[in-house]
Amino acid sequence: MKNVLESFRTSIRKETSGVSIPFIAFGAALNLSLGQIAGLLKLPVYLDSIGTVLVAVLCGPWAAVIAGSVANTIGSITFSPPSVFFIPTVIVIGAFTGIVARHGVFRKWYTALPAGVIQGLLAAAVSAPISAYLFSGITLSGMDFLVMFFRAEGKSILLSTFLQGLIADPLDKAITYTAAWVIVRQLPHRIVIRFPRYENVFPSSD
Amino acid sequence: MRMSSHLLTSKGMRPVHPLTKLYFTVSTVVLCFLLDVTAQVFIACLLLILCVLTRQRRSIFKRFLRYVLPVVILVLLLNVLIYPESEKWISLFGFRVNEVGFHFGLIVSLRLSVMSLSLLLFFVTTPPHLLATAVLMKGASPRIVFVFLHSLQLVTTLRRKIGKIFIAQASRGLDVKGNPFKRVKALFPMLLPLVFSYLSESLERGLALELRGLGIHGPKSYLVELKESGTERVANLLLLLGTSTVILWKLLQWLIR
Repeated sequence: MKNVLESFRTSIRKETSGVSIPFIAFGAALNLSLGQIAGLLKLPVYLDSIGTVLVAVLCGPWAAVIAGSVANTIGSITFSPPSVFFIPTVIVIGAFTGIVARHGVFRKWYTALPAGVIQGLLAAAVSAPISAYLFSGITLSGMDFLVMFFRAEGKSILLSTFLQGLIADPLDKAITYTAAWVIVRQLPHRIVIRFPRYENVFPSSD
Repeated sequence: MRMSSHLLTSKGMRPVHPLTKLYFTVSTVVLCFLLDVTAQVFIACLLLILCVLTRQRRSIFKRFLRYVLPVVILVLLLNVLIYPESEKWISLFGFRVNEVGFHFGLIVSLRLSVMSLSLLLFFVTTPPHLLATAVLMKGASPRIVFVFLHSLQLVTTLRRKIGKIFIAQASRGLDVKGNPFKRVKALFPMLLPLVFSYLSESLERGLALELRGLGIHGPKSYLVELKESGTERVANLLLLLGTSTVILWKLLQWLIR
């Protein structure tokens, strides 16, 4: 037990030191700003976790959990008070991405894309109860019409929010993971090597 | 340092410590889930009075009307119009509405309003640097506090940068108005310059932070000295005890059932 705790502590310290700290802050700010790009390009996706995914790949799962949680807290202060209640979702996103990135998922597009779809399914499963019980399925996310459609079909709030998540989240996270793969693939080796989880992008034999 | 212009004050009241406000916010959010409608109405009234008393009341109500009220109205409307589990109907202002849906919608809307008002009251009346100092003095990690403060600054910078990159790439011929596939492709020429420009900045900033001893252990001094008064300490304790008692009581009720 002591060893497990010590390894957690070492892991957290490794992921939240040096170059990681400003990059975690950047990841959090990127999550909050990318909705603007989606809006400018009129894309029907949220793209609100790309910063968390990048931090998870380059710094690790703990750092990603911090980035996501900070982003949602700031979202609550600035423009969307309910976003703080979706912190469990970003914890799952950060942790899952950090874990799959360790297995080299972000080295190839054909592994990143399905991982994004799985991530979307997980995010939908975690968000659905929060959205259903706290906000009755309405979060003004742009996909609320789907919740309304399913409810009009006679489905419960929980099932409606889950079905809405199943339709929207896998696509959103697949695009997010692919975008993260494109970004990390183009990063110069000399910069990536400074991050604690550089081996997620370039195998150690490189 | 004077802080009265930022903190929850009214004429004659002294500034309230950020941590007392944090405890109050967490307590109200937790309680509005556990207590019944009467208690929720009481909390909502208390929050409204506090909001009116603050100097930042305009900002709080503006944000509430802009970001929260549309959700509250939608939640109510959705439940009134399509509540699948009930067939009971009542007449309200000449409209035929679903009775169970109306009551459920009212409860959810009230809870949402209380939570949002409480969060807005806290965040609008508490400047981030004072909250940061308060949690640092209680032993929070300086790294996480830095991340929080730096992200807040970066949000505005990044939004400005995104606007510039969008205009620059569009003027270079990037197709930003084509079919969905082309628009997804246009995402990358916008994202890459944004991420690359900050990566090199991250390296420099990370080094600077280490040189300034961000992760160093031992006693620290603060630019702003925040002191908790006796009343605030008692209030914190009462809020913690009160909320914990309600949580335990509800847990016991649930177990007995």
